[in-house]
Parts: sequence; structure tokens; C-alpha cells
Amino acid sequence: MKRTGIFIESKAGVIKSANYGVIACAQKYSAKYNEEIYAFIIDEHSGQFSKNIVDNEKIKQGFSKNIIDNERIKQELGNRGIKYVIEVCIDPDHHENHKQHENIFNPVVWSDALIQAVIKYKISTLFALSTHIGKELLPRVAAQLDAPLIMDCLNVSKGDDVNRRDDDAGNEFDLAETFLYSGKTIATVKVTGNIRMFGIRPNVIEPCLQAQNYESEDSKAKIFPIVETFIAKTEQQKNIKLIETKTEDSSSGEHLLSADVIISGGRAMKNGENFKLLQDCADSIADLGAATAVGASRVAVDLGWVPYSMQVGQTGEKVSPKVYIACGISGSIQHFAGMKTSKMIIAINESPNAAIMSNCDYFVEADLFKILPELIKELKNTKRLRSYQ
Amino acid sequence: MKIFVCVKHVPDSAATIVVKDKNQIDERITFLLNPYDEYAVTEAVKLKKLLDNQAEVIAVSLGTADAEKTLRSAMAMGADRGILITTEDRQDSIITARALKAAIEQDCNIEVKDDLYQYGDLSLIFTGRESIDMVGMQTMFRIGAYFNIPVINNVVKFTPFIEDGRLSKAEVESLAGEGRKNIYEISCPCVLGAGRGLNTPSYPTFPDVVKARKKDVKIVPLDDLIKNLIINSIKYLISDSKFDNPQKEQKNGAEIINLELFAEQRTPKRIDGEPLEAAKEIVRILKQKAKVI
Repeated sequence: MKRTGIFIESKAGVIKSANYGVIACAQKYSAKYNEEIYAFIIDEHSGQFSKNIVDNEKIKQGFSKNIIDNERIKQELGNRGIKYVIEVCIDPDHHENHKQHENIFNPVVWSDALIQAVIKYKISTLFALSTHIGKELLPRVAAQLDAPLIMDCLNVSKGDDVNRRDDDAGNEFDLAETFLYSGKTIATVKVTGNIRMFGIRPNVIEPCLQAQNYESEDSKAKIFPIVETFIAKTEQQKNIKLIETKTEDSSSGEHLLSADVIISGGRAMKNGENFKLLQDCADSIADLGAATAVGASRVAVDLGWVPYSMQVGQTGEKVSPKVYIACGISGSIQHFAGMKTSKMIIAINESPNAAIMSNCDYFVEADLFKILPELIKELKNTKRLRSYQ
Repeated sequence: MKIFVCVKHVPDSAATIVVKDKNQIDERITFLLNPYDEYAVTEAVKLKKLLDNQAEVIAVSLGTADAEKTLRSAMAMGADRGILITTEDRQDSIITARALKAAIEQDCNIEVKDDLYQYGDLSLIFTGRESIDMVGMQTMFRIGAYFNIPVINNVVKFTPFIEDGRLSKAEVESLAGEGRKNIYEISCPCVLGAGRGLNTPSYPTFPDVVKARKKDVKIVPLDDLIKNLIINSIKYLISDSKFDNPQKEQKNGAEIINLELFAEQRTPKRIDGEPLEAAKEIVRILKQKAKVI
């Protein structure tokens, strides 16, 4: 029996919601021949607890959070229809981060652990997100397995194989859809090999449904998956060592990837200071319940107004929010390459001739410095109205 | 010492793409040196200077005969010579990495003795962090795996350690998303994928371009190069590769079987009125149409 694997990304003990699109993709993919799905979560600390669960000293040091959080992740995966969860633990004796309390993402160590898990559980197709973590992890795994990998997929399905038998891989192949040539074309790629790997662009596939509300107090309603702990003995890497992780700016690319709404500024913002206006607007939308991030065009980054991590476009982040609000952005091909999969695009621009004005869903032909303050006020009023209800 | 830079000949991102024969593009458009590879070439040339010019910078590319232009661009930016691996067809990243590996190996007299690589003249391999046409984001990792040397992609800072005129290791900063930077210590030889911000590429002057025309480009057909290639560095190699058993149908690879223009045309609706009215309308759209608030 073939097995499909999913690498699950979590942050601070919570599954990133973009995983649900990957799960949906894998469920549809594996349903064709009733293949089993294994979800892999990587934990650097529960390995310590498997060996020595009651270690009060460590719990005092702040390790306890990880245990509870992983339970929540497993439960949530169960509720999304995942039957098997493999907790990949990095043996603390075998890596260098064991003294730290947080899960430090060391791509070299994590990829080694994931490779071992993929082989041990005989995974023939591996899915993950095409996020920053996915971009570091998947190519490392694919290179070591010499397995084909397609990043930034919009969809993945099984190719039709008329001669397929259960016990024989036959001429099995998969079909992946991805953008090529700066987002100007969609390619269908035929992928062959004993292990095939796919990075899925976040938020382009409709998420899988939740069977139960896992917040439910009724513990009978909760569906638990079968959990197995796999301890990966990663080797100390002599030739590459992660010394330090620095966080430089808080406004970040990852926020862009998980945002429901993105409000971006371009040349017409005039300076970096004015991006506060976009941040105010984003905060006001976020107060109404939608995860919102501020983005920028390449011009705004090149002029030094905002950090590179905020750039949306071919050479920046490729985003798919529900709503993309472009303020003073002309809409070059390169910018579109990073946001064309947005469900709705709203453009605010003074120039009726800007390319974006003819390829968006709504446009306001006006000075953004007149529209945005009014928009912020309106959003704040909206909040008040709601809270009175 | 030899510093290699793997470069790619890619369509200009502003060019109009026309699909032909189901999965091909009309190549009568502007092609250029992949923008990220400019950082790679620039960094390689910088490193050569740090080594008191006691090193050679070699640009390597897999592509059609036309890709020689991209090698000339790299040489105008300071590469000393070029190697062009010629192919008529588009190749996936597994074949690309094998071809680049084989070309570099031949050039450096790399040998494997008792399962250990003797890297010969090889000091470092630079690539761009991704190509703008295919955006596979993996070829650098595969080259590293085939040579059994470490890889870091999206490098924004490179500090080499030079001992007795030789490159021993380097400290490397890589962009990791969420505004984070990872700092690694990496031994050399290694593969580094250059990211934006690593340096500021300087555009070649006319004399540079003229000089580049006279530099040597060695042309090697792809088939000759990879026919007898042996991959023995892959620890986890569990599948037959194309070359071990060409008769077998099952092979590791990715082939573009269909290409379609993606021209999603949205129908823009104008939001009219004074700023206040327009703002009200945007809020209504966010609520009722997009249903995000």
C-alpha cells in the first residue's frame, strides 16, 4: 500500500491554517486508490519527555508548554480526518539546540530527521507548504533522496495509469500545476519516481473541513488520531553549523503568507513614514477579525522605505490573500507575479492608466492620502457598531 | 583554486510569452542572465580579489547554444572563462544538477578515494537563489548532495576565512523569512545560493564587454557529459536513476507536459464618490463581498 505524507508546519504549538489546504490536496490525491495519509510533526523536545516524562526540573524551565501544545495539534489533525500522526522527535543527544526552550528551526537537522521518517514510514508522496520553512526543508530532503520536487504547486493529482496494480508502482506518475515564466503561464508537470515531493503554495487550495469543533468541552466529540513517536538520530553536522538566529524586523514575509487581507503600498506612498497609514489601516481591519498584513512593491523596498521582507512580487513573497488592497501601485508584471492568485484585488490609484486599474476587481481613482484616512475612520466606526450589538 | 558560478539563460521577466507545440515557448524573445545569478557572479569575483587573484572564476551553464550570451554577460562581470553544456531541450533540476556536477568535476580533477571525495581545485560553487523562469529552488541543493558538500540558499552575507591563501570555511547569513536571519559556519567547498542584498552588482563597462568576447568558452554536449556519470554520494539513494538503468520506465524526473497562458482577466468595477463614500463602499465590499470582516 502506498502512503502519502504531509509535513505539518506549526508555530508556538498551533497549526498554521495554510496546512489545511495541503491536507485537502493530499486527501483528494490519496482518495483515488484509498492510500493512507501520515502527518509528520517535528518536535525537538518531546523526545526528552518520551524518555523521561516526569522531569519536573525541565517543566519548570518552560518545557511543559510543548507537551500540551502537541496534544492540541494532534487533536486538530484528527478532527481534519488525519488518522496517523507521526511525531518526529529529534534526539536531544544528537543535536546542538537541545539547551534551548523553543523549537529552533535548523533546516539541516530537520531535513535529516524528515528524511529518516519518510524512509521509515515508506512514504511515496510527500506534501508540505511552499513557505520559508518549506523552501529550506523540501529541497534538502529531495536532494538527499534524489527525488523529484515541484515547489509552489497550485494543485497536485494522480496521473491516470491504466496498468496500475496495487503491488506494483507500474508507471505511476503525478501531475502538478505550477506557475512558470513570471506567473504568465500555468504548467502541468508530469512527475515520476519512487518518492515524489510537492510544495503547495499557501492558501490557494480550499482548506479541508473540520469534523468537530475541537474546542468542544465534550471530550467524546474529539477525534484522536493514532500517534506514533519516531526518534530521529540526526548526526552532528561537522561541515555546516547553525550558530545563531537573528530577528531583525517584526513586519514579516511569513505574516504576508498567512494573511487574509494584505494592504500594500507602492511609489505613491512617497516615503517610509507614510507606511504607518497602511499599518493603521491593517490594524483596523485586524481589529475586525481578519488577519491583515502590510506589503510593498519593489519600488518601495528599493527606495529603502520598508524592509525587503515586506516585498510582494516575483522577487519577493508570492501571496494569495482573500483581499489584496494595492495603494499607489502601478501593477507591473513582476508585481502581479506575486499577488495574482489573490481572490479579490482592490486598487487605489490616482492614475487611471496604471496597469492595475484594468486588472483588478474594484478600483478607486483617487489620491490614496484622501481615501486611507477615511477608510481607517470607517473601519473604526464599524467596530463600534459591532460591539454595541 | 577554482570558484564556480552556475548561471542560467532565462527569458526577460517583461517579455511576452507565447506558447507553442503544447509545452514549449516561442524563444524569439529577450533572454538574459538570471537576475539572482548577477549577485552570484559579483560575489565570486569579490572572493577572487580576496584571494589575491590566486583563483579562477568559471561560469557554467546548461542551455541552448544561445546561452553563450549569458556566459559572456557573466564574463563581462568578471568571470574568467565559461563552460557551456549544450542541450536542445528543457531539462529538469535533477539532470541540470547532474550536468553541472559533471562539468565541475571534470574541470577540477575531483576524485573519490575510499568513499572520500578529494575536491582538488574546487573552492566554492555559487548559484542564484532561484531562476526567475522555473523557480524550482532546488538545483543548488542537488549539486551539494551530488558532491557531498553543504549548501546554504538565499545568502545575504558571506564572510570567508582565508588561511595561508586558501579558503577554509565561511560565515554565512541567510534570509529565513519572518524577518529572521540564520547565521551558519560552513566548511569549504560548499554551495551558496546568492540572494538579493548579498552585494550590488556593477554593470559591465563597454571595455569589459569587449574583453569578455575574447574569453574562452568550452562547449560540451549534455549527453557526452552525463552518459557515464556515477552518483555515489547520495546516502539515501533508494531508486534507480535514469542513467543507471535507462531501459526501465520508472525514473526520477519532472517533465512539463502542458503550458497554458494564464491571463486571468478581472472585470474592474469603479468605486465612485467623495473619499468618505468610497471608504464606506470599500468597507461594504470587505464585509459583504469578500466576507473577511
